[in-house]
Amino acid sequence: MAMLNTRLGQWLFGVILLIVLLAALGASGAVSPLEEATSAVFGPVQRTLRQGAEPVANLVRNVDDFDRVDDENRALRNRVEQLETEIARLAEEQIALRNRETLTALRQANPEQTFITADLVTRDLTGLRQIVGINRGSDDGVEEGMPVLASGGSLVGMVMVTRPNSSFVRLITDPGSSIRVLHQRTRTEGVVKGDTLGNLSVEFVAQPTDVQPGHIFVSSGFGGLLPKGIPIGRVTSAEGTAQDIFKSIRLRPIAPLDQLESVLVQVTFRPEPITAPTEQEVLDGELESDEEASP
Amino acid sequence: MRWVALVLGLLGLVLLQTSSIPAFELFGVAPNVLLVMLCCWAVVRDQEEAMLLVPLAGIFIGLLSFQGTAVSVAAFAPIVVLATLRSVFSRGVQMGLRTEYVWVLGLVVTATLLHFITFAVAVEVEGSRIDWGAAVTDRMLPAVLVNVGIALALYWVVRLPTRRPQPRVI
Repeated sequence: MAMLNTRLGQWLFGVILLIVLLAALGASGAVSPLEEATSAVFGPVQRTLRQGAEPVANLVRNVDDFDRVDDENRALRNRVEQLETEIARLAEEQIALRNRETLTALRQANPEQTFITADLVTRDLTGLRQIVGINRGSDDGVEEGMPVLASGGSLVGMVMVTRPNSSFVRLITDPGSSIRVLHQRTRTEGVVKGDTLGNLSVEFVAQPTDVQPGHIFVSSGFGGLLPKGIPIGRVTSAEGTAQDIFKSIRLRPIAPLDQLESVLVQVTFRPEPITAPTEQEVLDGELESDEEASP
Repeated sequence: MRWVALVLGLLGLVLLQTSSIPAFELFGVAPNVLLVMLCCWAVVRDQEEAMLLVPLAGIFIGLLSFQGTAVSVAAFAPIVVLATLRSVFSRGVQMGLRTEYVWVLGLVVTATLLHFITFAVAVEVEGSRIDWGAAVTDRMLPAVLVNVGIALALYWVVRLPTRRPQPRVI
């Protein structure tokens, strides 16, 4: 009990003070230089460690697929002569998809836009947030709010915090993520939101809208926070009864968010939030139009 | 020299925890080797070491990830408190190996729950909505299982090189 009263008590008091101090420093932005210095020094180490672990992690992830892969391999061996060309082509396509050449292709397809590639260095440690750290920061031209894409061009998320040599990206599946979207076929507007488990759902799509599994939602560009037309997710289920006002729609992200190793940051797009006009601006506009109308 | 080695070792573990360890997901969650190691350390080793390492781990994690330093320190702090309770319950008498092992596992379970709840509350305070039902069943409970699984082995990594004090002969 004496321990509780003395040493632990003093320690607890010290830790509480430390927490309050760190919270105050964090809120005032005083910790930022230290965070920046830390990420500058240890960011490359983190990246190397992550890249080193990736092959082992992939092996572990695919252990339970071994039987299936083995069966598939036997079948392929039996038909190897007929399928050799096809397999080679598919393999090439697969390699090309994973290769950074696709990043170049995306750049060529969007010559007016500049993308920079970035490697993932860290992920959220609690599983409660869908946030990743990348090895590009403000020194590379990355700014808060910039869109982050997968190598195929689908939306991964948006930059939420920048440091000189690193940034943190809020994935589209994060519970704090909310993106205005369009249903590609009907052009109906909705809002895509993430949740605690990293799922995607679309809200505010009116019940009569014809949404079917397989349909795609893209960014609407409304609000000025994202470019228009970036693919976001494919519909996995769309439910609702005639009495419901809105449909209940679930999406699967088009970007392979679980297997991301590198991403593209669209550094030429700067989000410019479009806000509703103020009452005064509306009145001024009306006055101007009245003056123009009067002879 | 001992303290320098401890701090450098801790930094190495934090770097692993923020880079390569999240790649090894089990049941949808990344093992928190750092938290488990700190739990083992706090029970098996000198508590003075834990009193330094635990807040320092929070600061390191806060600086190397997007989680704030204050929240990270708060999330790790219960480890020291709970580990100190051990000596209160045992009333100064040295625990048997088996009791110590069980105590470590219990500490890992409790510390994981408190660590998780601290971060979940921080996320809520930040303004994001947490689905607590899903968070508990799909994140918190798997995290407890995974961390306990790691603790079963990591305990010995800390225990074996640590000399146990000889029982006093009266």
